[in-house]
Amino acid sequence: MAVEKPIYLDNMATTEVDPRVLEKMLVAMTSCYGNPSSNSHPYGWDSKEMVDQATCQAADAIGARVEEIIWTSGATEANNLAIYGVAGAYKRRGQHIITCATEHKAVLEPCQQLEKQGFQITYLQPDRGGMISLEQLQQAITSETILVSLMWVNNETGVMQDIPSIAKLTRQKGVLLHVDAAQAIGKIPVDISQIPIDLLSLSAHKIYGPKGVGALFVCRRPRVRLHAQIHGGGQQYGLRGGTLPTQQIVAMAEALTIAQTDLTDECQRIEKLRHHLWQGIAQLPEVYLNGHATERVPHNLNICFRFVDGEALMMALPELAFSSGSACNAMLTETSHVLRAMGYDDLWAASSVRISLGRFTTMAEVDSAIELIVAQVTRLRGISPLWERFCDQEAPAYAI
Amino acid sequence: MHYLSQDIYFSELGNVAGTKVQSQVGSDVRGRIIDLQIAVNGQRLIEKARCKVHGCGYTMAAAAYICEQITSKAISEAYKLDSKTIALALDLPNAKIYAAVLAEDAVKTAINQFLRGEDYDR
Repeated sequence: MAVEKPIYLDNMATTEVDPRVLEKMLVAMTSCYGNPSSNSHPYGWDSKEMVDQATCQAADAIGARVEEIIWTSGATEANNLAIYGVAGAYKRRGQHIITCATEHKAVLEPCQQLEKQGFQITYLQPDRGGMISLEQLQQAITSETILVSLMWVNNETGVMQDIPSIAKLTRQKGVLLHVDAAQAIGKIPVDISQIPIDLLSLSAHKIYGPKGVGALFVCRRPRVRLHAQIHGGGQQYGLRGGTLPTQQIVAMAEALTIAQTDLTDECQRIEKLRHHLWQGIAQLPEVYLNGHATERVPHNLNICFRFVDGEALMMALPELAFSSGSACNAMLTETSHVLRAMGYDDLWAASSVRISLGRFTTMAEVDSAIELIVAQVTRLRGISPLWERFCDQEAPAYAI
Repeated sequence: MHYLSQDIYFSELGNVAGTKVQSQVGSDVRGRIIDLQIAVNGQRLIEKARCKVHGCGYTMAAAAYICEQITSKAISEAYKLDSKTIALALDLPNAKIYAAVLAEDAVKTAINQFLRGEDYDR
């Protein structure tokens, strides 16, 4: 007997593969299995042609040049290549890197490793809304700074940084800018030809593509130098060795094109869903939205249900699939480093959950989610001594 | 997880005969708290156990589990319930052992409170 799966509300962790993407992927897998580097027979030629076309398609989708796309295994590898690659190539110019305390671990960890090698890392502290200011960044840049690495859209809160203004500042200062855009593509317009970004990380599985493929945009004009991190057969201009996975690349290119083409309609639809969801949930008392009220993508609600443990809420709601923070940290017992960096305490962070909507979320699902969440939050508060104490304190005010 | 939905244990003692005592263990800061209430009869058997709990699902499950386990037990028996047994029974992951430790603490604290009350009465 098939088990009914829960309603999927974890689209910032990963997304369902779009059937249009799958179709292209299957064609590449079945009809084009040659190694794109095999230049002595039609199997290889066909695969190479497919990879070349897909690379053109991906570059077009984000306003880049074809030679600026480096395929990777995902955004984590792209972030690693960007940070270690710049550190290796520019260490004689300076050994200072600036990032933000709310970055993904795929940026924070490489930075921490570089710290052990003698690099100085500045971790900018965001405000309560998760934003960093231009002044903050400007003050942090020194003559030793070689790289600023910031994410466009935060994976836990959905808060957007003002990357266009940040990019202008870093270009003015002569400092390289790396942007982790894994959560930005498909959620906000991304056109690199209009913004002076030097390096940009992308991931396919956040945009209804397959897992296991991503890309790093490496600006050619002005040229960014990188030290390769994976050495092998000299593929991709010697920057990333390894056989190019034709079907993954074709799928990611298609996912990127769809994400960019359908952006406006999709965001409008998802915005309506989120508004409805928030209105439904906010009927409960002591519920707060984490992160900036307006500088955020429509796909995300990071909500604190005070006096309810986020993990307990998830376990009490097997009908819904969502997360308490980032999926990448889900096995840890520590609370979200993102919320803590934004100034929230452990209890607040432990009471927060991330609900993220996507292309395939329906209004009926949102309605069910509201009903279930409201019921379980009410139930869990009913058995929480903290809620009881809170209500006792508040009682005189209610009595009036 | 079966114990997570055992709402019967997540309530007040209500009207029950015997000596009622309550233990509050855990920390507001960490957000893991078990308030355990037990009623002990004249034969020193735990008549009824109920709790209020705040914490992750494993903490809730551990709280419900101890209520079930100590009901109808002599306090000397209930006192032997340790975190290892609780963790094994609930198949807790290593990272969640704290839930079993907290639950054991709740039982021992409640029983100690009862025993202190007996001393006081004497």
